[in-house]
Amino acid sequence: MENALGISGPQAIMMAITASFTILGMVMLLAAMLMKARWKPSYAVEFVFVGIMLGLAWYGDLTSVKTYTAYQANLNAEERRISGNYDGLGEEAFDKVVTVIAFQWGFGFINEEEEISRNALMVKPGETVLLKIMSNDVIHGFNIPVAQITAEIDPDEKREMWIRAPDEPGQYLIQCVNYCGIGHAQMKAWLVVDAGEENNGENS
Amino acid sequence: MLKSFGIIGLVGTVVVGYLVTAGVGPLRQLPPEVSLLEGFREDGFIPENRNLPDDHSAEDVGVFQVPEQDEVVLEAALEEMGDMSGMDMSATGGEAMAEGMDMATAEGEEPMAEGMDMAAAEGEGAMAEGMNMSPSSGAEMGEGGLLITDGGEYDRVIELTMTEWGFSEMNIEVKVGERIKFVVVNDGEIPHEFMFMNGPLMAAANYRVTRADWSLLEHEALFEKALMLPGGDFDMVVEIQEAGSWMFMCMLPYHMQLGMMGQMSTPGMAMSM
Repeated sequence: MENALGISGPQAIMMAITASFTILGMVMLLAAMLMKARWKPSYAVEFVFVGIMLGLAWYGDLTSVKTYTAYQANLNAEERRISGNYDGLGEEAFDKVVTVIAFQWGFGFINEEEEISRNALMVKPGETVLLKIMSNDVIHGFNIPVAQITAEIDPDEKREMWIRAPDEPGQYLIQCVNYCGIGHAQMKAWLVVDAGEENNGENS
Repeated sequence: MLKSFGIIGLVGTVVVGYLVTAGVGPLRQLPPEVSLLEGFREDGFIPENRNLPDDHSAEDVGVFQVPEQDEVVLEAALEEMGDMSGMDMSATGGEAMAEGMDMATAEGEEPMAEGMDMAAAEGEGAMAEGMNMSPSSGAEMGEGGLLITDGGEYDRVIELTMTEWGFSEMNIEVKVGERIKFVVVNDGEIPHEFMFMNGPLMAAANYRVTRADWSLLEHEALFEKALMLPGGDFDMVVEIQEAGSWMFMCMLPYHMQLGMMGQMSTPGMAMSM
């Protein structure tokens, strides 16, 4: 089932039910106000109404748990592990360790040579990168759609996450997803997957 | 009953009226009270050094590109300045350009407009080159009337302190031929950057300054020092080679709009900002 917003699945079903109930409620209110003869429903109708509401809540809860479980399973599935929380494996387990500073409004990426890069995270195809993310000021978000990672960066807290870089060289979006001030919409950076000279040599 | 509804409505109107007029909070973006990096530094999470060297690998690969539209806007801005023939105060850049052209024609070099086209044809980085139209006469020439070096002799020192949102000196008067040592210190709580631009370069990027892809693109500048962490500093020596006015600013999103833009100008060349 796909609705006008292009959303399909349980979301669309819930939206359709909510919309129809809203419209129904408005029609009933108008009817109660404007109709000369008042409609007096029996108690049974009220029970049915409450029953439908409870059913909706149960259905919403069920689908959201299903979606969440599926997301977690996908995140932890061995063959598709592309990002996750750092689970204390030791920094040696990763190909690269990058310190990220999120500030108003941008990202600074500090590599292992203690060089800082503004709004560009440089990685090699397929390598695993440990990101130690810190906020300079307020709550920021850290989202890399291609790596399926979304994190909230709270002030005074070091957030450690890891990603596996895409195999395809190119530039991928990194963005802040928690409103952090007037410049939030411009708080974006590139995840740059660069094969480097060695691979270029192989290809040519 | 009806009366109470009326009173509630009246009170509500007054409250809403207050909230949308006098009751509106500060419209300024409040800067953070303190940079949290200091704490992370103490914990050893980030390097001790406040002046981290730049990682140039993104630059080498050409991650940040100047959109082609910039060049079109730049040419339009230059044309407009030429038309105003330097009479208007806002066309000071044009005045300098006109001067440069006169000199160029006197020495039998190509007229400016042609030079611009040639520069444009060269493609990337052509804009900044196009700015420097003065004929080179043996001495080292900088871009757009400024020769910026890391060190060397200087006549005086200007200390520029960055805070949220502004510089310690917003208007700097300089003379042609002067060599000034700038000591730029980030005394604020947010990372900042420092750059020099002139009118045409500013116009070339200004049309997209609030666009959502601002941080994903590049802009040309006469000088750029990217990302100074709070507490960081650097210095440089600037030689003023031509009469004109230049803007210095922090180009991080909205920092300039919030006030982080100052002006350096030779006498009589100041723009109204």
